[in-house]
Amino acid sequence: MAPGFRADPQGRPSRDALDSLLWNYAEFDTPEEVDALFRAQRRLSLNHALLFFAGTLLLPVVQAVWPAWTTREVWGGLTPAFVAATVLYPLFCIILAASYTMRANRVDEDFLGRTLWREEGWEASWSAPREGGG
Amino acid sequence: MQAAALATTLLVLAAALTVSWLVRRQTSTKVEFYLAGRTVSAFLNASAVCGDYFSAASFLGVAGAVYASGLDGVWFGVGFAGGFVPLLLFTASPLRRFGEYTLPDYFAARFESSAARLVAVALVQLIVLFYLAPQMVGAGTVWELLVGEGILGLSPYATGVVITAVSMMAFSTLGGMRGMTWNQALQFWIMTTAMGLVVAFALAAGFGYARALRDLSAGPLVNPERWRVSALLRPDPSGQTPADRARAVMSEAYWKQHVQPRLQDPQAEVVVLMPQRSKLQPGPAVYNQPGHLYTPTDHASLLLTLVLGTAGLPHIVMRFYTNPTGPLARRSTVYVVLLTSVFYWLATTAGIAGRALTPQVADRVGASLPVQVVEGLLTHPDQVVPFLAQTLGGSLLLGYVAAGAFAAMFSTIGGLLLASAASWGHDVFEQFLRPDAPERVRVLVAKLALVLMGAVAMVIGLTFPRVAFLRAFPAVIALMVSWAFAISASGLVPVLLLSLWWKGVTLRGALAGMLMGGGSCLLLLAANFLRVVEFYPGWLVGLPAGPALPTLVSAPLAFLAVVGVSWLDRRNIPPHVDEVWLRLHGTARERQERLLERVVARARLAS
Repeated sequence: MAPGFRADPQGRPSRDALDSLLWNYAEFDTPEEVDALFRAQRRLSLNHALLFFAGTLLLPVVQAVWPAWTTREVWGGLTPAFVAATVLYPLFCIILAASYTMRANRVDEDFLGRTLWREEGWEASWSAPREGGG
Repeated sequence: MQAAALATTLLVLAAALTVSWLVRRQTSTKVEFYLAGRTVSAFLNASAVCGDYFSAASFLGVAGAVYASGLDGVWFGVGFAGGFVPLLLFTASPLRRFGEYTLPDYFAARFESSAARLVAVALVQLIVLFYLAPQMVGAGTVWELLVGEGILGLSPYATGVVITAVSMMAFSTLGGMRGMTWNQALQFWIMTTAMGLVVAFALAAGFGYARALRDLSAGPLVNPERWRVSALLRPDPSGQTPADRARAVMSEAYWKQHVQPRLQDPQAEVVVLMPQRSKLQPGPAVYNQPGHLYTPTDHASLLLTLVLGTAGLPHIVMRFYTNPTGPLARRSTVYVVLLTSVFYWLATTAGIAGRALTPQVADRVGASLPVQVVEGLLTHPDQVVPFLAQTLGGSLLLGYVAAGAFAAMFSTIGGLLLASAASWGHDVFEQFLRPDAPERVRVLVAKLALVLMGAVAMVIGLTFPRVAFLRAFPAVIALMVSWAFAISASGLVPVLLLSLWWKGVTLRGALAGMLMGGGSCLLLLAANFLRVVEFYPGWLVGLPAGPALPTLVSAPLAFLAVVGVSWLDRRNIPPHVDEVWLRLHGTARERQERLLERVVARARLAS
């Protein structure tokens, strides 16, 4: 019998057996599924990180190579560099964060979410829990 | 004394203690005490994360940096806000799914190693100490500035330190993480509304953002500086003295009345306005242009430090363990990015407004707020927010800003004490000293560790050589906080990021990364520190002067060490890494938790 799963001598579930079933056997991920999800998530994170670091480093680079970026005043004393640091960059971070979160949550749902009772041939049994559950 | 400041500060303290008292029964188990039962909603946690994150460096320091340096000062706030993006992309969700208590817990489980846990504990405690010391100094300094009275024969500074430390011990041990969560969220909103009110009052007083920037950038950037007379009158090779440069930008009347009479004594100190040099090009710095604070290397190093360092701050990471699921941890982080951006925009605006309005409102400041103004400029830029509050909104607004300043320190110090206590109680006591301790003893030890760390914080605050430090480092609070970020970005984050997303990281690789990153960062910080205080032993002479923050060197070294050593050690990849991956990246556990919640809720309804 799997650890954490308790039954009385007649094989009927003990008081917390339902909890035990839910915790250990009802929902599961296989290592292969998780590996596929991990690769998709890593790709998504790296793509967004690439955008983030490119956007972050772009500011000092533009500043170094384009003098008008820091000297030309577009509205009052606001230069493009000032607008970028105080408004555009924070907006960029917010949009990037929101976009990543929506995609990452969708990827989670697309790749995982199998439950034992949806599996073909599964029968509720207190004594023979499936091996290899996540 | 500022009666309103004292009253509102006491109100914040009373509110914190009330919240902690109300939730005191929900701290009986370890998961409740450390992690609020992992049931904190996304928005509440985001508010609490912001409260935890915004210290005195954020509330007073960012506006002060913008006041003194213009565009270069803006980057502090930008870096603080941007730091949550890498945390979101790489660590928030997997760490929450892993479901432990502390960062050392994760390292110990990922590599099945007590050594990894102990090295991580050492780094965590180091980060906490570097973060805690300036908060305690800030608490004493802000009390001295805003309340100005001592109790029981203590100086105002010592009173601020003692009251802060004792209050933190009381409300943290009483309310645990649940009380801390509500307190930090409440304190974040006090800070944000206080900053918002200051900006609103500035706008009402006629401040216009773009117009003020244009006016402030019309000439060279000048700032007040404290000089010894002998140095002020020493000519450079061209025959010009610093006094000549100062006199060129100061009014004749001020010079004759306040500076000239003191020039006879070479040991005397005077405060004069000095034109600031640009670090990017020959000539003066200009307010709306870069170059006052940073060379391109310093700029990149600051951004890297703040952007990478956030993901390894123990008190911030611990907050993400309190979310119920990985997706909610992600959503919390999005809210955090939004809230931090709004807050830092307000702080930046307050800094510009302060610079623009100081000359017009300086004569309104009362004697009870001890600020020094030289020719329309504050000598201590960190005082700009309380100064604006006092001069634009009177003592009521100043009182509310004082509450915001103390809220900033209370929330951060509380979070740091809890993170430190978790590290001692959970990672050291439970793992090495009494692994079989019952739950009641574990919670008791956690509370004891918290009280002890509070006492350590108080001793640090009281014994810190702040006068000498302030002379060498005028912005010591922001500087020491950025040192904590640098240790995090170099010692913990490279190993954390790689071990979460690359199965090939081995125990030896992780240890090499933590030791190389943390060690090189500390060495370079020490070298910079000794250089500034002009105590430079011979063995350091050969080292070139690096950027002010060493992350540009130490973080890549740590990444290289992890990758290189893990590759050499590739036959020793932990055998259980697939199981760890199921916990880090799988969602079965949180789906089961949700299912169980539904079953329990239905059972309750049925009964």
